[in-house]
Amino acid sequence: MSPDPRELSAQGTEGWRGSLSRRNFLRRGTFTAAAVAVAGSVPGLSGVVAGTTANAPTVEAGVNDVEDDAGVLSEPLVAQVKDVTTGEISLFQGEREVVVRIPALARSLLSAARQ
Amino acid sequence: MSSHREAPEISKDPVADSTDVYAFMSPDKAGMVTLIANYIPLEAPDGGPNFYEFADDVLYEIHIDNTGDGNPDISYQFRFTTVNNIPSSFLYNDGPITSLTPPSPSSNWNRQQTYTLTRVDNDPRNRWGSSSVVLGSGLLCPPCNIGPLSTPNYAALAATAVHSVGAGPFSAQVFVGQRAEGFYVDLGAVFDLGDLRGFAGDHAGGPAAGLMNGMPGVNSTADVNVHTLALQLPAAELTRAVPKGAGDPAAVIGVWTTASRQRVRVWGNWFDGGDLRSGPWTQVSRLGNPLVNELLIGIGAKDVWNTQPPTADGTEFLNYFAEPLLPQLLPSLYPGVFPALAAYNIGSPNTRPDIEAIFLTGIPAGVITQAPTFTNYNGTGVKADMLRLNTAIPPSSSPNSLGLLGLDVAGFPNGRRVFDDVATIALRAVAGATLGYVVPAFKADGAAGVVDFGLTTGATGTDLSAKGTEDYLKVFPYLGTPYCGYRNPSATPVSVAP
Repeated sequence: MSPDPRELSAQGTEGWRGSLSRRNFLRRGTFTAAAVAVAGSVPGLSGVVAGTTANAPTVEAGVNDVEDDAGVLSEPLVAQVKDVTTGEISLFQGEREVVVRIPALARSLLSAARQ
Repeated sequence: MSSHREAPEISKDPVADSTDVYAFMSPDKAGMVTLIANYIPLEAPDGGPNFYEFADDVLYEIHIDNTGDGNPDISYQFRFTTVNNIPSSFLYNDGPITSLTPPSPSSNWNRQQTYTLTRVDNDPRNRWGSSSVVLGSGLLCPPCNIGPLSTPNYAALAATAVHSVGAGPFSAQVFVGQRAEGFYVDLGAVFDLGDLRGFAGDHAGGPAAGLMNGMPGVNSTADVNVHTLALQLPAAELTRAVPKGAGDPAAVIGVWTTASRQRVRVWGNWFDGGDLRSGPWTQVSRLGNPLVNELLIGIGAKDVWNTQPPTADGTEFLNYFAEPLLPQLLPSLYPGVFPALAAYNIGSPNTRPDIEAIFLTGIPAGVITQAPTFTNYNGTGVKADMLRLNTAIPPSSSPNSLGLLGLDVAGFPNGRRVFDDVATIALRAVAGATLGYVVPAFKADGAAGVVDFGLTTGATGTDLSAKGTEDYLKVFPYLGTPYCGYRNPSATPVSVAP
């Protein structure tokens, strides 16, 4: 079921609450300094997505592989690397978005995308 | 237009582009509220072979705020499923469509839509708590009105697309499908530097362009269609409590529509299940009161406005309501016609509390001196663009298309009926006709009470058909039978004075 629009708007770091807090959104450009989108299985990430609720979309710590569903991709996964330095990556799967901050992973994805 | 192609980005995504919202007490069913949200602007009736339809990948919603906080307490969600009954055919239909039946390979109708209607209660303070209930699924949409060979007896066919649905304590009548555009305005004139054909001789550039006063208006949307989401609901299922009367804030509901898309789309997966859509729903279109984003919000903020909740209108967008540009332009466009407005514009204060009241808070009791008990104030003062309807005010037995300006308290801006001349009402309001209610020292120019688009007969508001160019229904869903493609080809010339 589709969630409450208020929750929808609060998703991610570019939701309207984040935009409004800047007070100058009418003049700003895009937030994304560097973005790479990949679709498919990314080892180690499926556990984060499966274990994170829509109301707590940010994961600051590192990521551990989850053995019981590793390698199983029930729905396509899309990753948007927003900031390589901080490792901020938005992960989209189904109707959810999770934000993780894993610099090493961001660097790996960027490196892979450049190959 | 009301909200047709009102912002740069959404004008490129017409299936998600809301055009009008209506909310009114049903004239033929006591105690029932009708809510209508229209999408897909300016449908040419003959626009085949891929005729117009709602999108499967858009979440359409009609929201109701019944607590006055600018947030949705109740949302009705519409989700669509489209099937090709005959995938090998390029045609919309390969025979007459004479009845609505569930999708089937044996159908004459190839491209067919069904939908699911869900009611979501969002606020635990609400008497229904937080819940979500499917009111109906597999509900059938009518086809577009193609022509006498494809869709004979269209009106009767479409009438069978009015469904009675319900679950638990909730019930509704619902119609989803093509309708005749009910909004009327003279687009060709107003977007030609604010020309009003009837007053073109007074326009700063009118005489030099050979324009003169008294030219008749043109209903630019007279022969086009839209796609409609229409609900008819017991008022008691929408208000936060049973109101004690028309003066009780509990009688007032705020209504708006949104369209949302998932945040990610990956194109080009045609042979692997189609394009990928992923992530949470994010709002791409919003509409409450007519003409807000169209005429008040600056072009640099229009796209952002469409993504915001109504509560943002009282913060980030407040200046667009408090100090709108259009009243500043009118005295320049029509020199000498609006001297009182021109003087007010350069005075102090020169803000427009009347515009804020109409669009953002509702009108408190006592403001309309000729109807002092009237109110559609939300009771909280929260500023948010919503179409506010006082559900305790019954429908008018002799409606006036000028609504509250015509002292018809059952009309816009107390909700909005399909025939309300909202373009004229808004024009007169920005010209200063409503400012004196809130700033008593202001005396409006005479012109503020007479300017219009020349689309109704006279100034009395008794013409509910826009000079016969609108043909509304007297029963749900009230918007007229859509124009037929065969009889209304888009190339039909419109005879207009030069």
